[in-house]
Amino acid sequence: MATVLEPFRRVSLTLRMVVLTALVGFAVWAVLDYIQTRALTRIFQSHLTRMLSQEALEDRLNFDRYITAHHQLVRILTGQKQLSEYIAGQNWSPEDTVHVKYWRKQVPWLPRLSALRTVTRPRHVLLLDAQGRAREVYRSSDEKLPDVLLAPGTYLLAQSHDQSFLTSLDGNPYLITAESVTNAQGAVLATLMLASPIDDEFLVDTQGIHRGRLFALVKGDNSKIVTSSDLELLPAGSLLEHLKERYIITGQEFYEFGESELPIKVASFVAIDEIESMTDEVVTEERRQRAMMAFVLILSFAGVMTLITRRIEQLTQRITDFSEEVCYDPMEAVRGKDKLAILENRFQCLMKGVTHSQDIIRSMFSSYVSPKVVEELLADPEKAKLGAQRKNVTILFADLVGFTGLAEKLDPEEVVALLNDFFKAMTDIIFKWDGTFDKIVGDEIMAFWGAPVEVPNHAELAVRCALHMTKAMQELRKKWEDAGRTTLECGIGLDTGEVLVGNIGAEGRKMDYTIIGDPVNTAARVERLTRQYQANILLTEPTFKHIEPLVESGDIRRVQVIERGFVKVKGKDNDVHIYELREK
Amino acid sequence: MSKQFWAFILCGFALTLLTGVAATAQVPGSAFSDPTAVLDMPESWKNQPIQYDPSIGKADIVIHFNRQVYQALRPLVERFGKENDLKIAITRGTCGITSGVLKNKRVDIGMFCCPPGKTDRFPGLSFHTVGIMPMALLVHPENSVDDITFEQARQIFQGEIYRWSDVKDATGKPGRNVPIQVITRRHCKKRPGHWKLLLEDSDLFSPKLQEVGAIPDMLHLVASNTAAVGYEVMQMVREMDHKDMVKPLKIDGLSPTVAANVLSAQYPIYRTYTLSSWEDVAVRNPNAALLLQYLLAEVEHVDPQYGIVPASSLRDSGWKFKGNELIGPPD
Repeated sequence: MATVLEPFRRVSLTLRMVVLTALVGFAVWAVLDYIQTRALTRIFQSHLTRMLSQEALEDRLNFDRYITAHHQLVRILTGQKQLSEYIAGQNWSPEDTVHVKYWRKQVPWLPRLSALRTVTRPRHVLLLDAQGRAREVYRSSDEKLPDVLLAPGTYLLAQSHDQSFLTSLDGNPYLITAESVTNAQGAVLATLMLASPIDDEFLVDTQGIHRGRLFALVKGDNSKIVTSSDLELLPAGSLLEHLKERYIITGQEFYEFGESELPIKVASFVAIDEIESMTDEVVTEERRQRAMMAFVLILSFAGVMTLITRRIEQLTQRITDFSEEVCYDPMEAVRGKDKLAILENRFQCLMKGVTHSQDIIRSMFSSYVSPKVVEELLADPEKAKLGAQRKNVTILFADLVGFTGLAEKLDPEEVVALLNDFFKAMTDIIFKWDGTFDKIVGDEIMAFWGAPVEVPNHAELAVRCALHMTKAMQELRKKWEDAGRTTLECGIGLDTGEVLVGNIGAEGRKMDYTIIGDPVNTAARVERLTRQYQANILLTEPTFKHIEPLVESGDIRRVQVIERGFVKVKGKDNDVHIYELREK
Repeated sequence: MSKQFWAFILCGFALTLLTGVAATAQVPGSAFSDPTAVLDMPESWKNQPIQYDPSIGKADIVIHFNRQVYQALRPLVERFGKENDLKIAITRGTCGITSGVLKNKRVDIGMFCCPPGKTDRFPGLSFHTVGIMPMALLVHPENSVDDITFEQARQIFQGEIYRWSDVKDATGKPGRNVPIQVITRRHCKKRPGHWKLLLEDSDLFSPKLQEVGAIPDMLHLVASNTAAVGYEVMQMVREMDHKDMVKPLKIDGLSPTVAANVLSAQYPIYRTYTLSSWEDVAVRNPNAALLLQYLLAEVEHVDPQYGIVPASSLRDSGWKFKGNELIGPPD
């Protein structure tokens, strides 16, 4: 698998993402297209079939209306004065030998033919005498009239009166409807009968302006077409079973208006081709639009992916450059290959670098500052700018008063033990107050606050540390007394001011994180003055100014600040204003 | 006041009452035709034997059923054929088709959804009532009207009541203020009963109605129009899957789905299902006669869901018969 993908990995990430986007896009489009096309086809065909069924119902209603219209027409015609007057003038007798008179053009006993055809279009109109013999016949065409209609007989006359009657004459379906023409006394003078063969012409006429739908009469057992509105497409005698392959057949229902002795059903035929063609039209249009939308989406997405991957590539390049610069890690193994693999490799390299840097910071500062401050520096390296910089800090010097003279009298072991006790206790206190332990010189210890982590209350922390140191010295003295050792006092001097901070020393040999500046010297000098003023803690004015509000507000409790005036300090042109800090 | 005056008033009142009753009685049509009537047919026809339609093939009995009871009675016919080892061909259709196949002597037994009309009473034919079935007035299920009086029903179909708001619903509130769409299927015009129990003459119906020629079209139009009203037996409603698409109205508080309502002759509109058989020896099929007796006896065991109120129950409830033919409701 990896081998197969190898050439692909050598292609740029942007090109890969574009190709991948296109592939996924086309795959999703293909699946959705298949599902949606099927669903759409099903829904559309279902709706279309329902719609066509509704139209088929309209066809049947038109058929009903047309047949009803025949009966209505014959009733209207029998009420015509023109007809009554014509019959009255004929003097027909039961003894007459009947010679049927046929009419094709204007008929004297009917209204104008144009008016007649506005209601319906009867193919034959028969005028029968009181004995039920046809005397005169209007024919709309040359088609032959079934002989039985010339003398219809009692049954046919009875069934066709007062209703539309569908029956079979000479083997063909016929619509017959008749009404009697009576005189004022109600005696039957004649019968007017409309007769039309139910054939393709009739079916087309039922639909008015033919709308192209197929309409047929089928045998009652649903086996064959009796007649249809298009005998070329649906020939009489066609088996329905065969037609079902090409047509959706709806509304196969027995016709039962008035009277029909024909075992026929009225059915509508909708060509499956027609439905499929309409469906195809919609589906094709839908697919075209869907494809266009998919294309636009794929293109847009590919564009967005190109922008993103380009940014990723740029980022990768920057990270690679940076990591090569800082990690010193050979890239040969991954060079020229997958950009993401390169990025991953560089990330791992950088992570190692970061971890290493953190270890360096930790080891570098753990001897200067408390573990808490070390973690703070690691969390926010910005706080520990290791390059030289100027910072406002408070410096604390502390040493054992009279130690130098005493050291000459004591055993070296006792001196070391005494100093170790002192430095251990003081260093712990410095770290407790987040101070930076700078160095030990002889019996003197130096610390500062405000670097590497900048803290706004560096003077307060330094003063609280000094007070804590004084208290610790009391405990230390008690311990020394209990051990029968010589006891010593601790002098502490503090000054606040701007210094130069940084790693200072001989690079590659010895480097120390320390501070340089006048306040350092001042603090050291002030610490020396503690002997002169018999004080434990002396502050310069800058330090005092920082803590004055705290002392006044009681935030630094049980202390007393005594002004000790201005003193001349070695190495400074101006006198230094000093204050003694004493516990109450 | 003199005795003559009161006699005059009383006579006037009685005359008015009788005239009113007579006028009302004119509206619904007769339920049955004269059972003694016989259609005049030529001698040649009388001598004509029964000849089955060639498409049927060989059969011992041919029976033509009306479609409304086809599903209910077909199992009985099939069982009879099986038990007696007879091949029975069953066709189905309308009353008109029945009349046609009887006229052409194509079947042994025919069936009508109405009492036979004068033009059905061919010589040598006798009629046997299977049962009756209430005919429901159907409306759209969303129509708030559930119950109307028989008089309102007649006025609606006459077009005298032409808005549903003129009819009150079950809660006494008027129906929707929309025109009533009357749908009719005036089949079997020459036969008594069925829709003629609503209005006797076709001419009494509203000229604005929509006429349909087939049962499914009637149901479809009612189901698709919230203002429509039509009619059909509930069996066809069920058979054509329109049970939830149309709603039967009660008439004078009587539901067409309760057989007792029509059995008691209180529900006014019903169909009468009638079988015909040839009695002339020349055309009589003994097997068909046995099948006929079997059907008449077994119809009372047909599943009540088909809604047939059998002839035996009608006899028990006082309906009038001449032979096997129902000729009148109970007094």
